[in-house]
Amino acid sequence: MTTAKLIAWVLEPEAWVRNVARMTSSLIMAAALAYSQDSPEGSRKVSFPLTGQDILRALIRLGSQERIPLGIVLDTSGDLCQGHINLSVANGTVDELLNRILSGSSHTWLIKDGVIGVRPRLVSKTANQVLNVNFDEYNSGIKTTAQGLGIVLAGQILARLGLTQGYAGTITSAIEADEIPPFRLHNVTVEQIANHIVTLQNRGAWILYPPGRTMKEKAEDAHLRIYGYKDDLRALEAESCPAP
Amino acid sequence: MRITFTGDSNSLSIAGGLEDGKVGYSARMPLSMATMHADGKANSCTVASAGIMVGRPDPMLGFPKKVTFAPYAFARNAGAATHVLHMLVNYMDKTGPHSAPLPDRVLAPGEAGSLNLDKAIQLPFTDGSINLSFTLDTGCDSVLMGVGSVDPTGNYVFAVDPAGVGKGGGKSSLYWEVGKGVSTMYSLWNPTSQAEDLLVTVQFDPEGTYKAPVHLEGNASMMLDLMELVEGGKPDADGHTIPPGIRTGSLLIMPAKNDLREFINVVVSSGTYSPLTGTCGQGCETCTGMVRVEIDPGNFMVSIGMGQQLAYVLTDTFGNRTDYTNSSSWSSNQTQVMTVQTMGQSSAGMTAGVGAGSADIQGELAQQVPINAGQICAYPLPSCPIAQNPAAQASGAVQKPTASRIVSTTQNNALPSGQAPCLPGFAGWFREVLKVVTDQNSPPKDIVASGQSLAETITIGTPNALVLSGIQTGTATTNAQGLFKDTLFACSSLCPNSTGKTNAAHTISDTFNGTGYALTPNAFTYTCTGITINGN
Repeated sequence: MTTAKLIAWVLEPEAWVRNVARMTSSLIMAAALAYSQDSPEGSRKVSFPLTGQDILRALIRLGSQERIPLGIVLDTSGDLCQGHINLSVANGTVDELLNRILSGSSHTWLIKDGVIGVRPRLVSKTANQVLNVNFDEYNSGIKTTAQGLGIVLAGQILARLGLTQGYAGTITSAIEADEIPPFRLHNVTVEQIANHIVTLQNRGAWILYPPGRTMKEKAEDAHLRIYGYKDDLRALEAESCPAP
Repeated sequence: MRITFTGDSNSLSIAGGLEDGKVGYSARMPLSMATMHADGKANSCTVASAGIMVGRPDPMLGFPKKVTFAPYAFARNAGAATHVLHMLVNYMDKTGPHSAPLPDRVLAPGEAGSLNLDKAIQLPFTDGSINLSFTLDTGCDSVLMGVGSVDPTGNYVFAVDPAGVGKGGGKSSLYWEVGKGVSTMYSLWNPTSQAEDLLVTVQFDPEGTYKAPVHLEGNASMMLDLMELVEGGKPDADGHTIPPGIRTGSLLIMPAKNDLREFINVVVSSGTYSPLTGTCGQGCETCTGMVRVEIDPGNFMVSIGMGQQLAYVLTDTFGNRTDYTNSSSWSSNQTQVMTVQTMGQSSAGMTAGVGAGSADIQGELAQQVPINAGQICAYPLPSCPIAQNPAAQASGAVQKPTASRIVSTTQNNALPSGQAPCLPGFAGWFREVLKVVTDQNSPPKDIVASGQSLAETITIGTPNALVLSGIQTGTATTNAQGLFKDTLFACSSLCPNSTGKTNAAHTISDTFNGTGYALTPNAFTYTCTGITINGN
């Protein structure tokens, strides 16, 4: 019935997360993990011509056009922002399309929590550290946009990692933007929170920029950004890969 | 007779008449204020009287059988120079319209006298009606004229004041009356060789209309008897009839084609008379046409790169507003500020903001248009006026995104430790404001435009007592009112006890219609007890 796609995530041990100062920049090899095409997102039929776009914008276009939630972890290779994809899929599945888009790149994909995750085959420890910051109880607290929730979460990540004594944000939003009412999640990671946000209302995408060799080198680099497709597409499409 | 007085021409109204109580004769005296003007203002004027009765009237009109009419015409040179009066008689017979010149009449300064129509006119019939035209070698206000027909007893006098000849808009007759021994007669004469297609609309209360298309060949004339029309009971093309009990109303003579830019050239005379009592009142017509020309909107603001569609609108006598945007030429007096597309381009009247400032945008109709005018039955007797290429202006301002301002603060409250978005162990402040982008003017004006794409940055400065870092900002697009929202929060482990502050520079880039603008930066100050923007 389906073809298995094997992708794996090696999750950091809790002890490692707590010991940020000793964190190294070594990379963890991503191995394969079972994936079933039974996923409704992956088996959805799409018709999709792409001409001259890089991988990141192709993914954003797929996500926004089909309202498929995305979670993208960038690395320093910058390969998602290189090359020009020219392909045309007529009545194909989303997973077929993803395979073709990511073919030859250093990134792979999986579907998790209803979100298509695109991430490097080699995920840095620091990126995993960010994604696995855990909240016993997460209270979004304010009614704001998906982008606004991302701004709040980005500050909270820094605080939880002990990288700052204070955080702030300015959530700029359109008056008519979709606003997500406050919600609570229990025992969740940053990745799960971000996945939850991008599955709400008109869906969206989150992008994690690669942290530095050590978090304390440049805490701001480890930023997570969340966008709603309806209100923030222009900003999402303007995202770029970090310089190699 | 000349009446002089001190004061301006609007300060005194004079009416005069002749009457012979013995035989029941009465006639209005045409008086003109304008005859006091100097000669030579205009070099030519043609006036005409239509439907002057000759011989025995039509039995349908109800006059006593013994009544017969003879035309008369008197003229007075009210100026200081000699003038020549050229005359022409026109009539209809079974073969159609005929016109014949009459001998010229030279009028010395101040001279008044009969034009001796009885000797000058030779007609192939004894009973009927004629039309007379008089062409002056000077302006209409230099010669006074009295024209009409009278029966030998002097009891029946039908004055038919000459009306100006020339193309103009439709004509509106203010009043007609029929019944109880009274009737109203209209005479229409086409004084040119060009055929005229007209639409005569009889109006009567309440809101009734009866329409009759009229085709007048060149130089042809016709009479319209309202009594006959009312009593005839024939439906018009729309099936409307004039109810038998109707006694009064008004009448319109319009171009057959319903377009304000259409002209007609028809001489109209009318009279309401009682053949049994021998009384007659001369009708009065007004000119329909343009009442107002305007550019809509008359004042507007656009941003650089944006446009406002303007409309060239003419309002006619009846309050109808017609858009002639695509028939107008458009221009800007400050093309470095604003341009406008003109007739023949893809979107005539569409402006485009080029640079900050203001500009006057003019729309000018590339055609003549008749002008609505008041009574044309009083001396002087002009034809209906015409506007050559009527033009109007609109004032446009081009706004450049320059700064932003707070319209209102919708939330402003403390964040105790653990209250989102502050995590446990962090406290701070929360403020939500509605903002708008403002322009370059002093004082600044709001840019009320949607589609401005805003991106902000926050740069922490000194002091940074709350030890804030990693401040992220969002993006937004303004709504139709130009509004967007900024939600500001600050959480610090040093709050709520710290009395220090963190300063930050706030920038907004505004991308509007493909052009980016860096707005004037704002100064943010974060404390445990508030967030201020430019000190507010």
